[in-house]
Amino acid sequence: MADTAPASRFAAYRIRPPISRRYLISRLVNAALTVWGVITIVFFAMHLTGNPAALLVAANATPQQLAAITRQMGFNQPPVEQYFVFVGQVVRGHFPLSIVYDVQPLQIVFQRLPATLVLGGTGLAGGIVLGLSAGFIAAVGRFPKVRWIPVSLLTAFEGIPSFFLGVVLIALFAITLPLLPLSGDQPPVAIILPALVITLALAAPIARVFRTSLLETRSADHVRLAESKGISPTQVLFRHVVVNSLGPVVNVLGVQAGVVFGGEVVTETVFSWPGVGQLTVTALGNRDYPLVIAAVTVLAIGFVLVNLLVDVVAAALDPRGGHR
Amino acid sequence: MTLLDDQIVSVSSAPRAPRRHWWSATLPAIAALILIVIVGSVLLAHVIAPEGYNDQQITASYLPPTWFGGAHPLGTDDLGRDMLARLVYGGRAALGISSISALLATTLGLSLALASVIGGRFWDGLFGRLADVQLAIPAVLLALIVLAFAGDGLVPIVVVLTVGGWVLTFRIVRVHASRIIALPYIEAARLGGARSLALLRRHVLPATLPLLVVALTLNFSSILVLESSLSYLGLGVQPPQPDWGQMVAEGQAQLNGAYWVSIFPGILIVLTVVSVQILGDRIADHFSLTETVR
Repeated sequence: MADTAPASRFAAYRIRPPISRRYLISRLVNAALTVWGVITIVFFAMHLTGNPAALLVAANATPQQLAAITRQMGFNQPPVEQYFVFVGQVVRGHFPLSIVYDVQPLQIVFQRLPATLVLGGTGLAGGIVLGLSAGFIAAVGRFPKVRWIPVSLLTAFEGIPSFFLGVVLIALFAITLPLLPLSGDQPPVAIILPALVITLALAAPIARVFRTSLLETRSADHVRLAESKGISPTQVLFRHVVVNSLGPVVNVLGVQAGVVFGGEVVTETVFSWPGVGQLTVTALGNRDYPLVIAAVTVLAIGFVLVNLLVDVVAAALDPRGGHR
Repeated sequence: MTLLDDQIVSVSSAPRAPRRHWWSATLPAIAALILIVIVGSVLLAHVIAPEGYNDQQITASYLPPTWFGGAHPLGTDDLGRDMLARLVYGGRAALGISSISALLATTLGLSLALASVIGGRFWDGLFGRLADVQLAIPAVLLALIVLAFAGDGLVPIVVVLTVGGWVLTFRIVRVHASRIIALPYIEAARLGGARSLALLRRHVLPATLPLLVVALTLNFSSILVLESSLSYLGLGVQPPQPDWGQMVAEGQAQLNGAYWVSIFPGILIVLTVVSVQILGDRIADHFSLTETVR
């Protein structure tokens, strides 16, 4: 047998980049379009109230301040130009000063960003670990009679809206059994409950998809080949079944990124976690609209970036093109 | 060889017939019962609580539930208002807003799906892209933006919930309808001279009806969750008019002494959501649609 020929053929396959440039560009364009869409929605939403400039200054502002904001955001121009000026200002990060804090809103948002990222990251990691474990047990667990229990439990938790789950967790673990702190003032223990809320919201869909994917991969040809070659069952399971079942999980993560971001807004509010989500809701209550716009824009950009990352990772992991 | 191969694969990867447990029949019955009780008492709110949702008795604040008998079987809140009255009136807001939005979202999704099936590549592409954009923005974020500026009226919140929910119906109906439209009997109807609209009404719409019912239940439960989350965040129905999500938020500060103010409305939300989901599953099962919906 010619040993070199197949080897070089495989080598040629390996050299090809894992994702096509076309796919990458199309994802980038999509991401940019989404951010643009959010800014557009903000623009139109602001105009629903009549005079958008009045929203961006304090209620007791002088006419001069109002005029300055009107000029800065271009509200004195014809509607079409107004739109372009507004988009331009937002893209460059030029927001009017926050009404409550009297500083650049982006500055406040970036101060709060680490807390959001830590909570989101912890919840995400927990959701992946819990979801993969439950899915694994459900598909290949040793005791068929009981292996469906973890996934069913997670699915049951899915029916509980995250704000109420948060309230129940507070009632159970911070009040009835005073084990954990009530709110986000005392890290690092304080992260446990809010992260658990995000974890439980994420774990169920991951577990279901991983279970289906494992069952499908287990009956694939290459797995039967590996088995018939006499590779030990454990090796087959982990090297050929589990690894090849991870692709769909990454896709689910992309879909569920919205759950993490939406969940952050709610969860941070429930636990007074000092992140961007809570900042947005508080700013909304204070009618601090410059801060609301800045925070929402940052959240949207973060969401788009996460989606982009997930899409690229999914494409790199599974280049067969199952993703759209 | 290939034939045998295919057979083996199809045998080994065929989904096993779902095993029937005793609870697969009982659970939907329980769910239906719970829903009947909840919806019934919400509809009869003015009979159950003729004094209304804002009957304050400061001297009787935070009375614990007495369960059976007594003037306040489910206790009172911080202003001494009867919890039972607040719960049934809160249900009017939560369930009313959610069901109107779910109906609108399902109708919108259905119309756009049918239009994109019958309307050719251009409309199909346009609506598909619209759905992508919609999914690209988390519903809570979209709601925050719109409600921040549009205020707390009934119309903005219904619009936000409808816009947040139509994609689900659109996606599943579009896939289903495009399969139906490729079937021979549609071809036959077309050759018989049926116009597009008549074709949709007589042949496609009836075939999507079961799916539509399932989509409605899915829409309703996800919209109720979104509605109560927004209400919890202070967007939507404003005090003194109660809404379940808003009641959970109000009671959260007093979880320590008066758990019932926060926990009862939350339990009602969970019971409604889960019951509707179970019924939806049952309907999907009945029409063998489980695969289509997932």
